Amino acid sequence: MSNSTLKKVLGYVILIALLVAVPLVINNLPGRAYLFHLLCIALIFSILGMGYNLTMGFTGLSNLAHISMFSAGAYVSTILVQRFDVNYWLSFLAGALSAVVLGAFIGVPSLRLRGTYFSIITIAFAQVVYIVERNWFSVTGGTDGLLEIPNISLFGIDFLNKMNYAYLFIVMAVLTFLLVKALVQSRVGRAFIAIRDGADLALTTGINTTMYKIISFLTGSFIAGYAGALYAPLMRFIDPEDFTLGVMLNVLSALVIGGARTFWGPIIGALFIIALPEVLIPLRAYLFLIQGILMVLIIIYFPGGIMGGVYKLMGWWKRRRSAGGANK
Amino acid sequence: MDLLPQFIMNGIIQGSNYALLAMGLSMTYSIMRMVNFAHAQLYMISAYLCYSVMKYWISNYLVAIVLATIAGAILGWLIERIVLRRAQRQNLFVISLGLVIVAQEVAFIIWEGFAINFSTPLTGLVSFGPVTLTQQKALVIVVAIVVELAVLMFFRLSRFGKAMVATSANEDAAQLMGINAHTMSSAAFTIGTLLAALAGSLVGPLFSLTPGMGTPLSITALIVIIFGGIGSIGGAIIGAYTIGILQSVYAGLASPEWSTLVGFVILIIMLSFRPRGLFGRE
Repeated sequence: MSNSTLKKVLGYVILIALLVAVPLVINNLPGRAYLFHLLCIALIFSILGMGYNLTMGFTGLSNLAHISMFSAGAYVSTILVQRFDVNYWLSFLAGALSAVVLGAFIGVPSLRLRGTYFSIITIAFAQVVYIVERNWFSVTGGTDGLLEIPNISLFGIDFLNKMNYAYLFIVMAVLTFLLVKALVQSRVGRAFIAIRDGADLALTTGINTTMYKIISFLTGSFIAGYAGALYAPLMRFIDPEDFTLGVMLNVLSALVIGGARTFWGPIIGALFIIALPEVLIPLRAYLFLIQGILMVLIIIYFPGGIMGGVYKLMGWWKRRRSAGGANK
Repeated sequence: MDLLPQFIMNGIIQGSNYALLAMGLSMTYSIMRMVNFAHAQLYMISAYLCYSVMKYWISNYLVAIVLATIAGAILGWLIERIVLRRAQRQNLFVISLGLVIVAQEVAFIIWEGFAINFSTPLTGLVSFGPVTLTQQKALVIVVAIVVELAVLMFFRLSRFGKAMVATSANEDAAQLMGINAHTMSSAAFTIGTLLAALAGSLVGPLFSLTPGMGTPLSITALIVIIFGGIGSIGGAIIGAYTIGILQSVYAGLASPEWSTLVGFVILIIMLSFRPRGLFGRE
């Protein structure tokens, strides 16, 4: 086994050990319910961000309706569980699929437009979804939202302990990470990146840009959908204010800060926006302000975000070492 | 049906507001190729400024309007100089989304999140055939018409306005004719925010002030310029009144909860069938 594969395997072992250990450590800390809640929220936002990164980062589609697919997953799965007594895991699937259907409804007409026009029409669709959720009282509960969402259970284990949620969400986040990575590194993903870097050029090389844009959009919608279906039972309560344009901007800024176009960016971004207010308690009132300013600064001066910076540093370090070796 | 004239009048008031915002948005797009989603944030900030000036400093409403408008324009000028000029053009839209967060949070920190009722001395009633409106609303309508005419004249008649039109048509050719493109984008952005700030201090008192009041207006102003044709000032004005009246009549006759949908439905239809809008150039 060569040195670099050994290093890689070692890295994965450490990562898996870390993912198993973190909830166990939290379980022995004071205030663990709150810490688990934060961890779960950060994981949900990571999953949501990874789906968003697929369309926004890798395919270059500035979609601002991602939050609508998240809300579809949350509402559909909850309504199936509460009104129709469907098993949670079935309604989880139904929630994810309903997000794909909504994504097709929004994406297929919108993707005919380019650039900022595309962003604007997705804002319009997202507002339509939000207004429907607010006003369709008999189904969505209107501004009251849906209350007392039941806890979930799996193989007879119920999720009263938040640690189970943490493990479930870690598994889902890992699966999402692998899905996004496999997709982006496949032929399909290369088409995504070609579209982002120049849609006209991609078209002339024989890439069916419309089809790949739709694939990217729908995969992102699917991920947002199951993130929503996970979000509802964790919160035990959802209402339209969880799915506003403001939340969408929050997801966007997390991705930009963490680093769009990198696999780890959405995770780092989500951890950053969830952890920062806990660390900087005196600055909590200014948190969104800091987030907005950071987002603007990063786009202008540092488009790679945190992960882009990390990769740059790593590349610099490697070059320095290999240059040093050559001099010997 | 006897309420219909009143609904139309309310629509004209909304339309005046949309027109003041959409003209600036259209200018910013024509010159800088920037869709400024933070446009109505200056509307929100200057509505608050106008309120604060009247409450804590000078209680004369007209002076407060002038001060808030000038402050808004200076703020816009600074944003263009400090932030936007350093950015690449294709990133301007996402940057404006960041500016939305910044502006809302600044307002939230300074004025807090509670809705503020901002009343002006212009509470007398004006009757006008079958419709009655407050002096404040009449002022909004009159000022909007005056400003619309002034902006149209500015682009048709003044040398500076013509230079801006030339820059929007072909930036490189305009620069070869000795027009400074930086000055033009600075001017376009500053005039745009000045109009938004004027709208804020005039229309703000009609509603209660909240930090989130700008975002829906930004969206509607975007819908208006897409409807009227991006880059066309005349189209923006006509689009503003059309959408304002349609929304208000729908809210009055059918359902107020769903009336915000009117604009989105218009936008989705327009972008699907005629993306360049009513008066837009291809």
